[in-house]
Amino acid sequence: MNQSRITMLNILGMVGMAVVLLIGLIAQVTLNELPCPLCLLQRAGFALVMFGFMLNVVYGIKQRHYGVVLLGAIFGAAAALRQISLHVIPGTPPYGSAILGYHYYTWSFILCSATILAVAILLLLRNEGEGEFRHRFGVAGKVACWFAMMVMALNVISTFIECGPFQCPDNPVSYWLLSII
Amino acid sequence: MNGCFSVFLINPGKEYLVMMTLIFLLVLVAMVMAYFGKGRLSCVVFSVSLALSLYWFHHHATDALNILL
Repeated sequence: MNQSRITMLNILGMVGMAVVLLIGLIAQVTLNELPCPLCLLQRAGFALVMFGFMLNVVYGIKQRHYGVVLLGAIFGAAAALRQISLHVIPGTPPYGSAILGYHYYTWSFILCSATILAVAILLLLRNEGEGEFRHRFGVAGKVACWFAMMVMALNVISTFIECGPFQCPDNPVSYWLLSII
Repeated sequence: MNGCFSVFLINPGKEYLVMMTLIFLLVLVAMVMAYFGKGRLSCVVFSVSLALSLYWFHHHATDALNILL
């Protein structure tokens, strides 16, 4: 597979992570389901993955950029697995709504595992003409980067509204900023 | 310290806690830096955000699970 196609896959990966974070935000607002600290850490994992894909989109495909993606995905999967282990105990109610039968944290673990698998496949792909390829940061990449940065800014704002400059409550029931104004 | 608008907070266990919003803010800063060509600096900011994330993960994942094995 040539480099431009691999760059396009990285753009799709970055947009995919941004869409996942955006769906989380939409569900948070529309269903009034406040994310718990472990949920926020899973979002942080997705954000770190998104940053790794962005490095590939902006600077070209590099092994260390995939390393950033893998670190983010492993972190997100670990946070999700911790939350799954909390709710798998008999008699423990789940946290948040279910989508297609799975709760957010289960989906988070599946998506992080899928990201690790996808990066493994991308690393296995042979890069034709890797030496002489000149990376071009095109319009599609720039639009995707701005979209990702916009979603990230929304996450900063929503987390600050929920937790403020403090530790997030273990079982959040109201927004910190809305409760003080 | 609940009324304190500081980044660093002290909980009853006298452990210093850094607000979780900072993780997302640092990732956003790293992304903006990467976009505007500050690649090395963005990786430094990424490292700080990853360290902060690990700190919070350690904080939230060290409670004993209530299960019998």
